[in-house]
Amino acid sequence: MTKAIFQMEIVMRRRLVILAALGIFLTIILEGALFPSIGHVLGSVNVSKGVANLLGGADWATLKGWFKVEVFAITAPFVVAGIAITAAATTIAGEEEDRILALVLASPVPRKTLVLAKAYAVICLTVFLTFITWLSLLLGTAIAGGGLSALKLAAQSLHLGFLGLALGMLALAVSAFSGQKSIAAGVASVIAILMYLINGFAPVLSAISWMKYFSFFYYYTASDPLSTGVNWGYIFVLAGCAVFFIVVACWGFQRRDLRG
Amino acid sequence: MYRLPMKAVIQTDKLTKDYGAGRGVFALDLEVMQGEIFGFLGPNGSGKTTTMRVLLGLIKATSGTASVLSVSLEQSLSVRGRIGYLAGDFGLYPKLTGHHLLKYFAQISGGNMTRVEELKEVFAADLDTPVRELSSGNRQKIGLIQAMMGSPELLILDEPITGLDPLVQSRFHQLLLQEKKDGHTVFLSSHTLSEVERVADKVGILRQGRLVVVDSLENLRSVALQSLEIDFITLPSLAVFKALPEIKDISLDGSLMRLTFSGSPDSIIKALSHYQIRTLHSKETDLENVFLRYYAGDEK
Repeated sequence: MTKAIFQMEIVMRRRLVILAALGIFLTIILEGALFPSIGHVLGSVNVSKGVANLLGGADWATLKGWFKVEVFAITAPFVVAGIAITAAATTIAGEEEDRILALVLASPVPRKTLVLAKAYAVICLTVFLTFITWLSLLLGTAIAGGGLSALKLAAQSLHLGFLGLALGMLALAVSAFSGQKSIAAGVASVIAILMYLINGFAPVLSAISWMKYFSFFYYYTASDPLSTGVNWGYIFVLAGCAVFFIVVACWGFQRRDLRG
Repeated sequence: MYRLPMKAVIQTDKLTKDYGAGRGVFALDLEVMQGEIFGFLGPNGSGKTTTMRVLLGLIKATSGTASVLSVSLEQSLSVRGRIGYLAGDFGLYPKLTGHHLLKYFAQISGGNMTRVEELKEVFAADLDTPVRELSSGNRQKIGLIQAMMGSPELLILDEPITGLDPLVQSRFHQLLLQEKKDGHTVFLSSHTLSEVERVADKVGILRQGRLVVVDSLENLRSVALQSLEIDFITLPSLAVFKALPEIKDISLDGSLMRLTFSGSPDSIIKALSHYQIRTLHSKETDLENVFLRYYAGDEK
């Protein structure tokens, strides 16, 4: 039963995820190809500290800095998190709005099983996108002339994947609670953008510096995984939040009436 | 031949789902027996779908209790594999074909697809085209196959003939009668009487969330008003007919008498036998008037 729901979820989302993976792959390959000719020129541009924080350090001169700015600062997190949020928001609330879920739940499918199967599918899709990102980075690095270790790229990709999972599971929880796709996607997206801005401006605005700990982006970037490797403490925080949201999703979905 | 005593497959006791502002179902006492086809009638918004959704655990009752297949609603997950359900307004994954969808529903319900081919032929269903390319009637056929393919002990069908052509409707009703022969129970909602009249043993009429009557079709027919139109050769005495207790309304226009009555026509026929008659037209016994009477709230 769980396997069937999981497989259906994968079938329904595969086109979206394959297109996103292709987009990430092409972007990173292009970035790798552009670095030798553009990176050194951009490397001398001075930007304010706040903007530099939002842009992952704004160091275009090195390949590490180049990938931080061009891939890990905006593009990759928003594609991976965006797909995770979209898939998670659509998975329960979307099917509920489309009046599919009534037939599914009239079968002997426990609501908790349904939520877990769908969460598992979103996790697998996110892991797939993260893996494609890492593979693309390996190829992009080779094209750019090398210089970044596969392990460090894997570390940053791992942080990226868990960032996507935390935000995706947040969308799943709202989806399970509200039964409304637009609310689930909207709430998770707004929170993601706020977290991104908080993490970017917290180092330069002392009034909000304490808020950085509430931003998933802090646990994604603060330890600089591309230089220092995996920070398991931060991964634990992101994974813990994802698990918490799954528990909330199960709890919320079991207690409410199906809409429509 | 010894017959097993009938048991209640659906039983509700003061079941209430209150959405506020008078919407929902209230204090519903219902009993649907095994092997019975129960027609659940009522206008749009009367609470038929709400009742079915409560029975399936899709929404929670505000108060009251209910059991399905002898199991309380709280435990009903364990018997859902023995129930076939067709929602009134359902959706299907648009990119998938009927075959793919039915396989999915068989997997999650733990059922089998042994009847799919038989049902496909009965309904002349297209199971090889993606759902998004099908007409609403063809989607309805997939929904019906989905509900019936596992030969469930209880079928809960919400407006099942929506979008079906008359031929398929007729085949579907034959299938329901076969389900009944097999000892299965059907709980069928409709807002049209003609459908229920064809197959149901018992009818419950719901109005504004309250059950206003539950009775067998035979009993409902016995109180249904019937009409006669008689063209006399020899003029009758109106007073003779007015004195008959079965007659509810009567008029005489020249040689043409129109009357409505309930119950047996025996005394009317006997009274008519004293006169020469040119023509006599009887309107077929029809529950429509009973139905409309309850709908309109006139329960006299």
